[in-house]
Amino acid sequence: MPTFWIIDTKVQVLPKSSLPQDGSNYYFGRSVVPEDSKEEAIAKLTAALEEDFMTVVEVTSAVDHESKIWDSKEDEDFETNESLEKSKLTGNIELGCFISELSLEG
Amino acid sequence: MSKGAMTLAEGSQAEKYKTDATLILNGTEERQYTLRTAFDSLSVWKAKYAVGMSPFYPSLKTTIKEAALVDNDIWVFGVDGTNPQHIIEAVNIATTFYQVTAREILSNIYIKNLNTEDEPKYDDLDFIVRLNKDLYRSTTEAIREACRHFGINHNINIHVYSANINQKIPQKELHEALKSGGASSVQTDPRGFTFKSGNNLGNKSARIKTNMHVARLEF
Repeated sequence: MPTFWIIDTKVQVLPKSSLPQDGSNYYFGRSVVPEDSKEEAIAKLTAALEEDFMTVVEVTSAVDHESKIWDSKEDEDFETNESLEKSKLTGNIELGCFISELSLEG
Repeated sequence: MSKGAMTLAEGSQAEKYKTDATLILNGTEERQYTLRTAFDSLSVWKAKYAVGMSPFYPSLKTTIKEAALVDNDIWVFGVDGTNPQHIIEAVNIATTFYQVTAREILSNIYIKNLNTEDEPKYDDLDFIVRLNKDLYRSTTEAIREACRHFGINHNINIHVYSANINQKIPQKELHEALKSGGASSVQTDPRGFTFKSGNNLGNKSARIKTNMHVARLEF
């Protein structure tokens, strides 16, 4: 049974990425990655995002999902719980919803 | 004031992702009849968004026969917004279902973040912008043609959600595209909005800042 890692990233997105965009410099994600080690999980997520022209510029956090309850307002925005449920069901990476820098400014 | 509306290119049916069909220039309007349309066929759409539902098949003779009732709105699937015939058939399904006129449904049209399916193939940003401009132009033309089919003789508003500085199609290019498709004027609502929006494949989404642009078709 792999660990389900919850990884927070700050990414830069090329216009040709399929991610819907608003001209922000950065987008923030909280993704779920099933993998044995944290390093492997980060590498797998980075590669998955790169495929769609999203470059990880910073990993701000990477923790075992069991280390806390993912029910904050932020988690609602990132859809953390939905991602966790899906990932446990399918065994796949679940990227969650990215939050644009501009949308954080209100 | 029309109580009806039509959306194009819907993705997920989740409340946060559905296209807001209640905003109008500088205000809001209540809706009683909203026709929502998705580019994907029903089976593709269900696979992407993992929705279980039983479709109903309208008794009308149309080439698009996939429709479903989702949270009290009628949804029609397999609707390519650049194809006037698809728009006409979807409107026919809605007018039969809601028992209203085509005018009621077509008066207010909503589109959120329309993007060419082919985008990731191209490195050239100017080319991506050109493809998206083309998509908005041909969608506007198709809407115009569908309105003519129904003999619409009053103004139609097409509401487009897209960030002014969206690199895939910036405000200026978007307005040009809508006008070249036949809009007599395009105005950007001064309010800023924040919505969630998904990609065409249904496997990525983002919460983004956006603007609303209202294109007017005159008949």
